[in-house]
Amino acid sequence: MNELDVRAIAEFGRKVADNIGKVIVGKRREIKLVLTALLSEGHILLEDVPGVGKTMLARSLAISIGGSFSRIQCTPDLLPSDITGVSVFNQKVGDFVFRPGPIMAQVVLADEINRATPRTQSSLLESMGEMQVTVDGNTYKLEKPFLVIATQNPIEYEGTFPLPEAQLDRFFMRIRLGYPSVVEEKEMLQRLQVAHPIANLSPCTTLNQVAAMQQLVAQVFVEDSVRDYIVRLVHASRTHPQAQLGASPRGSLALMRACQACAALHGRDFVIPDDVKENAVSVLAHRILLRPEGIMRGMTSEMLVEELLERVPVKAEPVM
Amino acid sequence: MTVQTEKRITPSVLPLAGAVFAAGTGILVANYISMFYGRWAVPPWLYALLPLFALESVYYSAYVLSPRSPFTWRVMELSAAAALIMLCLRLEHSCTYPLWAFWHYLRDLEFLVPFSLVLLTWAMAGGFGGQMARIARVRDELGDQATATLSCEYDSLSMKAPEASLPIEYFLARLMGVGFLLACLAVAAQRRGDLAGAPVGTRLVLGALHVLTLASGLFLLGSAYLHRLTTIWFQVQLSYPPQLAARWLRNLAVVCLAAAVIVSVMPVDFSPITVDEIIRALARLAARAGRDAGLSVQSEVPAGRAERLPPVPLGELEHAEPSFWVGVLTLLYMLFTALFTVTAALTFLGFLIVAFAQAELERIQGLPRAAVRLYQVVRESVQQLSRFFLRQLRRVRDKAASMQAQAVSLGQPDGGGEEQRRRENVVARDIRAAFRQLVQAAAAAGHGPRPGETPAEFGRRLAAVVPEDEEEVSNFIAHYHVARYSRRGLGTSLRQRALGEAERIMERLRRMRGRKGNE
Repeated sequence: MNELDVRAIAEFGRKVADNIGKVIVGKRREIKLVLTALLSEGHILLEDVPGVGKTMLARSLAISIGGSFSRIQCTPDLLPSDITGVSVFNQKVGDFVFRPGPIMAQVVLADEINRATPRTQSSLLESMGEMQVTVDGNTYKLEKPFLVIATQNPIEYEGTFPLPEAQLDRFFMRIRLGYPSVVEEKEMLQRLQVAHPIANLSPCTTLNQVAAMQQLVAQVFVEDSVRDYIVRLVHASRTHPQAQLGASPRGSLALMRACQACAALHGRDFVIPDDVKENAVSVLAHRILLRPEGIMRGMTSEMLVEELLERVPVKAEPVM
Repeated sequence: MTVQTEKRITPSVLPLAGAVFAAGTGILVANYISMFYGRWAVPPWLYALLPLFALESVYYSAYVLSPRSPFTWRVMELSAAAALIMLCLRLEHSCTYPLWAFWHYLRDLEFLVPFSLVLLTWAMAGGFGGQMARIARVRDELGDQATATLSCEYDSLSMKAPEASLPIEYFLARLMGVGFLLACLAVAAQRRGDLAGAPVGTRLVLGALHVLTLASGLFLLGSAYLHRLTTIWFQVQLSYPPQLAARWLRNLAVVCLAAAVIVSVMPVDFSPITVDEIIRALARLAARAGRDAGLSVQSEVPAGRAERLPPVPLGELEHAEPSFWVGVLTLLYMLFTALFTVTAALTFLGFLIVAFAQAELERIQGLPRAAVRLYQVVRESVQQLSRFFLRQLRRVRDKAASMQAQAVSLGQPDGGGEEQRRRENVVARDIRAAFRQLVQAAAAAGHGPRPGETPAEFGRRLAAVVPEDEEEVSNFIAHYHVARYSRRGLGTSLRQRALGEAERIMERLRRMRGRKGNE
């Protein structure tokens, strides 16, 4: 990996972020996190109240990278075959023909995923983990890049099926969009007065370029002390008195990948501890299960990770 | 993974092994004491008391005692031991209060030696019992949740308190400690010629006791480990070979036999240090200290020096009037000695309490609590001191690396590929040394790094402190990042620039510190 490659990734990130920024006002940090997940080949769980632009973010990303987009509106009566696709009998041909489901797209938005039944949720799991779907004994490979953006509403829990820990762990990062600021919301009203900007959005890169960037990101150098910092951070999450379940080894791997992507987006070919700090909350928080007493004290897993970031020494040099 | 019926090593033999190990240790120590110091010879009935109290303590701790049991119960057990020893010694006291009588007898060696041995055995056995109860608690804690996941074993290990040790570590530490103690005693007995002069029966009994203690210790350690393992495996419903316990016991027997043979065959007369030599060295030190303080006692002067130093008769010494400063020095010396002795004794007591009564630390009050605190303070101080010395060592090493880097940059402007890489590494170390110096300078100015702070965060905070050098700080941190975290090093010109920036920032910090000092 040379300097030109790094510059190309940083330029790619800037171009895509600017393109998405035409639709999503502000939220540069969240857009950067989404790009980090895309470059790390991870999947995103967007958790926020309705109407903050989760769907728009997913759609604008799909358009920006020139990929296909599909949306799955999860409901309790949604079946696994509604996601993966189904084989129907074609009378003309006299045989069963596979009709692909919405999962066969580059960017898939699973809206309100916690409203689907566990059976349906788990069918999504195979696609996310294995990059393939199996229907009627036939396995279909999914095209790269493949990104699942699932959303869930943290307020309303009636009639929902909370995602099990195993499935949460498969999401690369959890992002909360949050409400826009007053200035941003005013600008949004101005932009949307006549027409929605997504109608005029055009791709700014190609799928081949995205795939190439994903391969380059894996070559970003991670120095041993930074790797050690990541591991100590994850281990500290397991021994924290308020944590019932700490982050998994998959969590440390995800954090390292996120740091590599983040460093590349910053135009660096090496990871620094600040990359770890920048991504730790998004990558680790949803993998940590708090003890009931911690929850009753008003603690959240994000707060726990932030506390760990304050407490776990970076050890840049021995004197520190 | 298959569910299977409970087929595990029965844990009821574990306390018995613990009691045998503790009692064996106590009896061996008693034997050696009798051998070394004839007037401290322990009475024969003590050999019956030691196993009795070991059994009582280990079974009581394993099956009855819980973290909620009052500490008074343990004190009552000790009182019963003291009363039994007094009864056996047929000691009588004319004091009104039993506690006062106890204090009176504590100064009597006839009582103190047997009581100390009972205390040692009882405490060791109690500790083993406590650890066995902990193993049982792990099983209770795992309970139903263990059936869900295999990671519960890891959780049970990782969720332990930072101060707490695993039961296995506890057993291993005791086994090694007792082994070392008995080896020292055996070597000392051999070198003094006590063993050679002893009748064959005594030597055989001693050998048998050594083998029994060693074997019971090994059995205890191994069985406890196997018991814990099988408990956890059973709880997580993991299938393990049913013949595991039998196979394991066979291996343990082989290990015990081999250890016993090795211990019996090994020549023990190899240690250059014996108890006698340590006592003689201490006596020499005490004599020298006494002489330095102006007091010369005839009995303390070693035989070799008696010719050079004319002895002062004790009678004359009592009537001699020492000078004022000698008196003050002697008084200070005595005070220091007393303080040191009390501190050392309390620290040791604290160590014993921490080691033996970990679960009950929060309940102890008064002197034991003070002893524990003192032990923790001493331990912390020793750790801090060792960290300090390590830091100094590292600083010296960095300075040497910096000098080497300068020599390389002055001596050889161009080199081959290997040489270039070596130079780059030296340069990287050099920048890192500069960063360390910068951190130290910032700390001296009151802006040292915080625990979880990254170099960039530290740099941003430093830039706010020295706004005039904001650009230098951010440039230096960027260069430091390349030198510290990237695969390629910094070029010579960039390195010179970074070092110059660091020097300017440090100079600013030094000036700031000086201004503060003047104010």
